[in-house]
Amino acid sequence: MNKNNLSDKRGQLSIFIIIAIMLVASFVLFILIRERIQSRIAMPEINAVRTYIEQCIEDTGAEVVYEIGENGGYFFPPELSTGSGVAYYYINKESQMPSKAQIENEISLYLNEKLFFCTRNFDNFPNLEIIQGEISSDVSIKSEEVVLNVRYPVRISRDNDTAVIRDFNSIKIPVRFGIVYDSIRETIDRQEPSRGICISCILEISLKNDLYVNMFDYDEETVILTFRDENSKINEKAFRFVFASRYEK
Amino acid sequence: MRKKIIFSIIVVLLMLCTTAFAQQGFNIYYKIGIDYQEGNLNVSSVEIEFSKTDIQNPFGVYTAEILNYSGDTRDMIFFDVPKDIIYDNVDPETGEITGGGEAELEQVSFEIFVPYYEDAKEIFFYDGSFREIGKVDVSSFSKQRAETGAEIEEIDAGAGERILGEKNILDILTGNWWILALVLAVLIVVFLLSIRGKK
Repeated sequence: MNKNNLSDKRGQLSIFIIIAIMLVASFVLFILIRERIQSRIAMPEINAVRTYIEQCIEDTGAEVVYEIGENGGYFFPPELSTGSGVAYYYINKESQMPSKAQIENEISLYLNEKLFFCTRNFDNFPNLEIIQGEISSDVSIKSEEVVLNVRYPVRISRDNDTAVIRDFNSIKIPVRFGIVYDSIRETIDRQEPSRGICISCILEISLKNDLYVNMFDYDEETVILTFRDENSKINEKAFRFVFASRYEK
Repeated sequence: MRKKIIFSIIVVLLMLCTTAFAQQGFNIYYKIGIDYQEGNLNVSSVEIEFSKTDIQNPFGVYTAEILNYSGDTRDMIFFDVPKDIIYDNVDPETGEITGGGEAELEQVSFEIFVPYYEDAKEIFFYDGSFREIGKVDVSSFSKQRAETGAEIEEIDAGAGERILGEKNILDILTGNWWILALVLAVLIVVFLLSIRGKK
């Protein structure tokens, strides 16, 4: 009798637990579905703003990366440049090549400055009230691409709905910046102070990395070198990295 | 000796600060594309240009006035419309210059650079007699319109991305805890009643 009573109670308990689990699961499911239904109203506009910002990051990022390549790793030519504004990478028998981290900082600085002007105060979204915060970014130069992680805090409001989007990570600019940089680093490291530029080294390095190198004499002591990568093209424009080397006689 | 060291450190720090400031400094300009036609100006494009140096426009009698949101003048610059040209007449047979003169074009396209101001709303253009001949809205580049102080700090300080309709499950449950508590309370009561009934 006692055994039957105990098994009855266990059975009741099991049923009770099953009912409890089903109720809690139904409750969670209901809340999730309700939220999803609500989100369908708000998401298209939020996604449109997100896509707009992402496009701006890609366009401005590419523009800054190309500009920095043309200026030898700087947005504006540094003090140690030729009269025409080409940065010296080799002068007084010493390398003046900026580090990869310095170039990353330079890209980041000008991306932060330029990005604001690309979004144009979100005039394309007249139905939304959009407030933007301070832009910051982290740039990483990889062999085959430049990776941008941008923090662009934006609050989007319409009627009583408000949403915040903030981080735009892993936006890739398909430029073989790392390969070009390492090739130039190798070229500079293999300079021969007493004999001038090592032409065979440049040939070997450019063939190894599928790059084109142009050289011309700026003056009697200065050579301007352009490393061009036909594998890195945005809008039909090949990526170019320009710098100068000076060999005193 | 200690004073000398401290003095040297201060001098070095000051030099580093000055160098860093000099490296960061650059100017921002509106690069405005203008179509001139028979005395009127039409703005064809407005872009933002960064420059390490001061950009000067060819000096002339035309004026660009930059106004802020309160309607106050922030700056004025003078520029010229390059409509006057000098031409040579060339004899096509001999290739010799046989004459020449000056001519005024009725239509010309050119660009001017106007200093950027964070609170600029509009730029008005005037001719030599200060008659308004065109204007352009530059509020889409204004930082004043974008910034609202405390609200920006609030956005910047916020934790994680949070999009309406994509709250995480913990938020949802925390917000609706009372429904869960009610369901559990009912279940406990039913359970207790069922045990009593058996007894």
